[in-house]
Amino acid sequence: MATDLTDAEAIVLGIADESDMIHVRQAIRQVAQRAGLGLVDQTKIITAGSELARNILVHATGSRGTVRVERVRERGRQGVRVTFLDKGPGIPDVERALADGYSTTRSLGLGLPGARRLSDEMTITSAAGTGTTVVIVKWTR
Amino acid sequence: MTEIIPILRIGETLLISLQGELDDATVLRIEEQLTREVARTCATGTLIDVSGLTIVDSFIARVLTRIAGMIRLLGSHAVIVGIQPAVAITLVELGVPMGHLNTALNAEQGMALLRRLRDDGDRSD
Amino acid sequence: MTAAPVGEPDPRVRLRELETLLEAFAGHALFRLDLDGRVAGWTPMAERLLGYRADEALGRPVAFLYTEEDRAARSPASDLAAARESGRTEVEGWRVRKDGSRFMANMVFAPIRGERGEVTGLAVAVRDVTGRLHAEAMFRGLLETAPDGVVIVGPDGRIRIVNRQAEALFGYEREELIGKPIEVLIPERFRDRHDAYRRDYARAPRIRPMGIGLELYGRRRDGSEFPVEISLGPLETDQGTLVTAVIRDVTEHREQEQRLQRQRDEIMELSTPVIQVWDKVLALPIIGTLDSLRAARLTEGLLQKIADDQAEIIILDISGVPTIDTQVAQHLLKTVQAATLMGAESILSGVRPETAQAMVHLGIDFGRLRSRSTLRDALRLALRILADRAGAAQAATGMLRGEQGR
Repeated sequence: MATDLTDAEAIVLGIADESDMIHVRQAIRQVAQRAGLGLVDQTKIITAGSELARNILVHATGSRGTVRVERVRERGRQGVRVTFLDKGPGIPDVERALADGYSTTRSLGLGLPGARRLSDEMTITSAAGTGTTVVIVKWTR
Repeated sequence: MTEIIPILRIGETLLISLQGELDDATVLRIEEQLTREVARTCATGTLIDVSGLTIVDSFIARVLTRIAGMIRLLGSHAVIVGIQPAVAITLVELGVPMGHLNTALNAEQGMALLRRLRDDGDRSD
Repeated sequence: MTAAPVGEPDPRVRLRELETLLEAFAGHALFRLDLDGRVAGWTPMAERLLGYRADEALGRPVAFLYTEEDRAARSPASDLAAARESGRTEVEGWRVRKDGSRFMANMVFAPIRGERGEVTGLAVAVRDVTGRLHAEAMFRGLLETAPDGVVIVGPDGRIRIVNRQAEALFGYEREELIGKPIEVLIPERFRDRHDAYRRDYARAPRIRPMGIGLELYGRRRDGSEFPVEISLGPLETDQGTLVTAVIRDVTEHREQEQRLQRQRDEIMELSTPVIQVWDKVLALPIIGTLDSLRAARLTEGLLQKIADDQAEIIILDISGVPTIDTQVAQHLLKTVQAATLMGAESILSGVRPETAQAMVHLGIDFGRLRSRSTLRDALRLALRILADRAGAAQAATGMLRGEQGR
């Protein structure tokens, strides 16, 4: 990831309740618009964020986590970076989790593969028992 | 139970419009309300207008597919109308299987499709 | 003059030794004044700096070294008075040599005290600081002629120097800015962070652009903001390390960037046109290779046109695509799926037998997607589908009318 520093306007939200999903979506929309993303890209990154937030509610320990939404800038383009943090059971095998169809519950899989396809960049840091950090970035074209 | 979103009736067709930001609980209540109404009125067709939805994530997509399935089981047809271009692209990229959903661009095309579906159904009976 | 007691050093010799030492180490020329301010002692360095020999200088009031203007303004007297009252006094001003030439002098007056602590005279140390003045003047000259705004900030974060361009950029007179914290030139929402950034810079000052990756804005006097690019550099002075900020207004630059981006978008669009070949039928001839970006634009353009034209059928013509590989096939598939979600039916055209084979081999399931080898055949199919639909609609209304007629 070649992203660089951010400006002073990051939005940080807690994810504890399914009603927080709307706030997460609104926050991503707000920052994505400010970064100048087109409608399609906005829709993609908000939806990706929605999937990852839902993951936390469904899979994380205590169904809790946080999300940080911020604008980023690289040479000649801007973007939005969304960072999800949870203290869940962790993903022991990230590779496998990213393969379509992987699922530990009856739901349609962890939403990670879909979120990755919708984002320009995705980074997952996770280990069994220590929680997971997922960062997604969408740039202006 | 009070109605969350109004359901319009046009002849034998029901029309419901989903708009704005829908949280999970609301979506589920709409599902329940709609299926009950289809059963109660014996409507032969249902138009679900989602032109007001700017975000359709995997949860909403799954519920929509489920609603359509339920309505089919009740002997009726459901057509989802008004999926926005950005939403369509996103749903395809997301990879949510929506293969068997009937869709149309707007209410007019949706009604025409419902007619064809009903006629096809009649012919195959 | 009394002779020194045997065994003790002569105080005059001692004084001369000290004077020589001081001159050697401090680079100052020394001389002595009596209580009336007349020259009471002279040194070789004083002669070298000022041009007067000892016999020419001794006994003269110190004013002889001052310029006419200063003498008219009574500066010599006030310097002497200040020295007598407050002890060590440092002054800077133009002085005149014997040959009439002027130099900028740094003069330090120090009272000489006798055994009982009473002031017996004044020691004066003079240094030529004209060079520094030139350097300063040159520096100021550079600052004022610089095309960009320059703001120099002290270690305390307060503005020390502002050049003309900076005044113009921010809409202030320099007097309004000197002494103020640098944050007045920064929009409020960034001020908190800036303090921390300043401290970070102070830890490792070097010449570099400010805020890489950040979008920087300056705040004018009237509260309005403008985008800027800033370059920072350390400036070592005897007052500590100052920070020089060179500021450029990049409003135009940003607008140009945006304009270029829009142009690029338009060119992209022109090279991938969606054609309305019939009422409710759109055709998209895909020519050349499809990279992800181009494919995305194609799809978005097509879907938007479906919405705008209320199209029911789209024809994707791939006769212009040299090779169908997995990537191209995936793009096509996604386009078809998205169009389907919008209620449009897709027909693939320009499919040659080899293409069909390649797609089968790729194992990609195109579902109920129909294909034709030419665009014309695809259009004919499209029109037939529409006719069938219209016919069905007519039949339905006809049936209704028929029923009503009975």
